[in-house]
Amino acid sequence: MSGPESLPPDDRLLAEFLAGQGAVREIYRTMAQEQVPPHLDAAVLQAAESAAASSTSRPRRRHWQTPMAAAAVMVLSFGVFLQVQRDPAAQSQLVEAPKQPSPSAVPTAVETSQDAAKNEVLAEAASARKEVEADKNQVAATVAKPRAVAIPQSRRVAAADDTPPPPAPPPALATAAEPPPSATLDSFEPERAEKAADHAALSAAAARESRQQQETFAAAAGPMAKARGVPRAANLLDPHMAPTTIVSETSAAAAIERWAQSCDAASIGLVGPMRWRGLEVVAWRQQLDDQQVVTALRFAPEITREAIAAALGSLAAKTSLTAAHCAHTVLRELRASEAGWSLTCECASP
Amino acid sequence: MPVAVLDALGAGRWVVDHRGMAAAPPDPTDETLMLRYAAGETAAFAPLYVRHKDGVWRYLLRGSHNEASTAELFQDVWASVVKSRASYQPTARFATWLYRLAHNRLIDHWRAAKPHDALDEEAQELASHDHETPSARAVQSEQGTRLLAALAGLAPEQREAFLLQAEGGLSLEDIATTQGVGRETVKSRLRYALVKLRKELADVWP
Repeated sequence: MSGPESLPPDDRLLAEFLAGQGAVREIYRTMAQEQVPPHLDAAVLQAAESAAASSTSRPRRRHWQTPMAAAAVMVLSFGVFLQVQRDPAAQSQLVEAPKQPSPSAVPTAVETSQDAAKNEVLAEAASARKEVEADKNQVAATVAKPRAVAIPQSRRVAAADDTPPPPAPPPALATAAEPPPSATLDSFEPERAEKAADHAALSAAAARESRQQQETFAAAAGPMAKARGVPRAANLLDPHMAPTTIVSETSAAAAIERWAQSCDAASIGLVGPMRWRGLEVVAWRQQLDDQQVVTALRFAPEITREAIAAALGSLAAKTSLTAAHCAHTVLRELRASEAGWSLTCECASP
Repeated sequence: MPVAVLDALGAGRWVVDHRGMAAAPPDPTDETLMLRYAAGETAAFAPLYVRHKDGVWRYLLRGSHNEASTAELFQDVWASVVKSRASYQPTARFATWLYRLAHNRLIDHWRAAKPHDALDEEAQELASHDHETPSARAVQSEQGTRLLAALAGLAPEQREAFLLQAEGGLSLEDIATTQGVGRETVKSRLRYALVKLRKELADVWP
């Protein structure tokens, strides 16, 4: 394999430069000392902070907007449904009215009675029309304008199926500020089925869009929620990794001191049976080991790894458990030094 | 130092722990900092900015040859970083992404400033010491001054390739992507640039 010396001069220059070496690189590194003026530093940092601060506040508004819109749609739909439910009772009365005139009456009387019935029906239709208009006006005053307006059954005496009008479309899709079409009794009937289908499709689309918006906002809020919920020292590249805590020298020394003083009998060297946090200890020592102060507890044979870990309590997060694969309940040693805490296992060898 | 305190007890051997001081946690990567900033952690931006600000400044300074323009370009580049944080994806190195923003902004600047003039002419015109910026005049080394002048005299694409590597640490592939050319083209540009610069220093650096 050819080394750098066998390369053409130009390629050697290039290889040196890419490796961060060579005369050109060295001189450039020495003389390229220009720095950003401090006022620009301040401006950029300020802009970055403002942008981040404004963006963290914005999503909060989005969080309640979608559920609020969904709730409003449901309430309005339910209201329209209730309104429609009231009408079948009135519709049934109007259906029975034309049947009242007796067929055995004298022709003149029949005609008169038929005229009267007809007049009665027309009067009721007129009053029903007025009711419809009043309903339309009432509905037009709400946020969502339900396109479906209940109409009296006088026009639909012969209708066999009576499909209730679909729920109102969501506010986002409804043409806001647009009054419902002024449907006359004559013109409304043929359009009803078509509008019912349209409204059903619109409602389904609205529900889909609402779901998609919720998913989008949830996904957008996901990383931020995760960032808010996880301590700053957490490993964001692997959210499943437990947060790590770095023990400073001062903290480690203080922790050792507290731990040492928690022993029932503070001593140096072997002084006989002791207990540490309720666990029997056969020895406790402190020594200088490789320029570090090492404090160690040697537990009695029957003390299990789990019991020691439980006794460690909050210190467990800072304690590395070496030989974790070993399942033997043999002597355990808990060592603490400025490098950290460790719980090691020594399998009894025959 | 072996410890034999417990041998008398016959309770087993001590486990000797040879671990040294706990290593300091590694600095977070540029990509990690940017993702944290995008997630709303304002404090993550500052260390990222400090790492790259001077390199970007010098890149823009050598490309614009004018400190006032450089200040404007510099702020625009970092404003783009801030604005694009939500859509940032660590598919490439952060430095590559950053210098691509700077490159695009510089291109816009060249096109807006003198769209019809040859950029080579501008570079040669500004290579003279009369156009040195106040900060460049502070450079004491003769070699450095001559290298700067020679750098300013390079063709813009050669100079940019040089700066993208020297300031941004971009690889050949990243430079190729930034400049919109092939890898071999980038190598040629760098070769030409280095040969010219080396030649400029031949009498003081054999």
